[in-house]
Amino acid sequence: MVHKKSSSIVVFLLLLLLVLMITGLFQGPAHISVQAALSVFAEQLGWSLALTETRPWMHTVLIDVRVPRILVAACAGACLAICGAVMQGMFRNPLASPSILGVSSGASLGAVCALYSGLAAVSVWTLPLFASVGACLTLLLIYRIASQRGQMAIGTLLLAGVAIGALNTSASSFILSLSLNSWEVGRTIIYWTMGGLEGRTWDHVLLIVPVAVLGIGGLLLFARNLDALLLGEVHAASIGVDVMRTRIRLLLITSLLVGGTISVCGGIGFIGLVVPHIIRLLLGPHHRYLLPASALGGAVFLVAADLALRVFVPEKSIPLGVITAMFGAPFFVFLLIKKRWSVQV
Amino acid sequence: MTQSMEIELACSKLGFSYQNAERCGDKTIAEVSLDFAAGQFVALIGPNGAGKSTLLKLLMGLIEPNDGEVLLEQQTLSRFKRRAIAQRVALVPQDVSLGYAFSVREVVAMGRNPHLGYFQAESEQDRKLIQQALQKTDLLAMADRRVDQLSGGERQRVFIARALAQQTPILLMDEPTANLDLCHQLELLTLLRTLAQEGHLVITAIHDLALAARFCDRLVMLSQGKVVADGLPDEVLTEDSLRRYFSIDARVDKNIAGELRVTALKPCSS
Repeated sequence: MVHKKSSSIVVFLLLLLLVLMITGLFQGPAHISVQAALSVFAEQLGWSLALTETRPWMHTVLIDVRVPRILVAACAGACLAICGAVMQGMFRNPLASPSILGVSSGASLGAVCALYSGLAAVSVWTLPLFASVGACLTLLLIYRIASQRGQMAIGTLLLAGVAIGALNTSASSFILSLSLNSWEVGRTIIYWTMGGLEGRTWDHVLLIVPVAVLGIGGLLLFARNLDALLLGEVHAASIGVDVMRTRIRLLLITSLLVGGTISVCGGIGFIGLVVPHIIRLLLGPHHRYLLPASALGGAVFLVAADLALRVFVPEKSIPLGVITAMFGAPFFVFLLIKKRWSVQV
Repeated sequence: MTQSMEIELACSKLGFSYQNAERCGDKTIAEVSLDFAAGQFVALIGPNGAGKSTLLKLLMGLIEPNDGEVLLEQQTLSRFKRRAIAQRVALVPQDVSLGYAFSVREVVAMGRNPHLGYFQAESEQDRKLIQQALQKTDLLAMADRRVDQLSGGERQRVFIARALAQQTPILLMDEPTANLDLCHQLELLTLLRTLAQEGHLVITAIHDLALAARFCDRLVMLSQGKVVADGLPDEVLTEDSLRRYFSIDARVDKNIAGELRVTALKPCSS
């Protein structure tokens, strides 16, 4: 029965995620033993376990460096993947993803503006704010371009996304070129654009976790409506889905998720495209399972990628976005060749 | 045959045109006023482009009219939320394309959506209704097959089953027999007639005039967005109306079984 298989895959992904997250705690330049780690956590919670002697630096490394990094990786991966799944369902197009609709690049542009103007240094919240504003403005813009008299032309929406996305990217590049006069700012922008999880703190966690929980929870409510949308606008409307309203709500929630994610880890691409595909191949198109499985799959993907980076290339800080693109792009080409997608618009 | 005098669905002075049509001065639907009561099996007939599909979409509230209004249960349609409409009216559109790997049963189960909450799972009653819908459309044998691997005609039956599972008092169908073989055409129309006899209101757009005359008790003929005839099949399908609106020279008589027979002879030049 499909449902049993789907449920077991979801459970498997959850367990895999937990395993990877715990493994990540012990990975890094500083070696910390299991007993030490347990003691540190116990002390943090106010209990005393005293399995072995702990040092203050262990606290810092575990609690202030590794835990936030892993949490951010999991949340970011989950957000991007579920947004990809939702967009693919919403637009009945297997190529839809946050990056294609230009929302990711809009968030990036907002962040770059914050970095260049120096406002990012004012407060740790400035950058996420600018990024979310960038994502939302992009979204509103392409939505206005593509909708007319209450009807949305899907083809126009996707193309508008590509066009505005290109505009955002070139604006970012322009600002970057201006900033190269000051090497430090330029380096920060370039590094940030490529995406990474270096130096993520609890401030970042506190930003992304509530956004992720609320956003993902909200999207899960739409599972049935997304199934209906796959049948087509007219079919969906005739079984009671308010197509326009559902689309607007989905677009809003996904843009907030993407904006929040990008602002915390920079531009990480391909997760929204690749992960839902793999999950769909395993589970089929039912959003009741596809959405949670995509979120878990995305979290697994990013946590694993970050872990791999720290294990195999610990000295150099290669941005995460490079790794995801390196695996994502060939997979994307493979998909194109294998299925010769006919775009349903 | 049960006849109910209560007007379930009506439209008054309905007018609508698509954007391109407006510029050419054509109205897709102009000044259409119709009343429909429960227990009627109505056929919408007319040449291509007459506005049949558009009228069905207007009656369902999928598009907003430029003029006039649609009344559902004597209230303006725009007052209803989409979900509330879906609990009362089911539409089977013409388009049968579907490229996703749902099973037949899963698509039919979506017909229960208007009656289920966000996370609510299907109940025993829902499953029974889905089973009945599959049985009535002869789909039980392929209930677990993937929809994207079926033929066009089979997919059409899936969507009809979906509408049946929706359990609505009003059924709107856009060319439901278009892709079906003869046997399934007759089965479907017999089923629809039975539903009308049980008290449903069934309105179907249909091309086959003889089938329309045989199964439906009321024919509404549309031409260029206007209602040009409305009544019993005998009254509506005359050689004169066929020449005028369908642009064909035809013979209308009765066949051996006493049913209305339309024989198209040749297209008119005008």
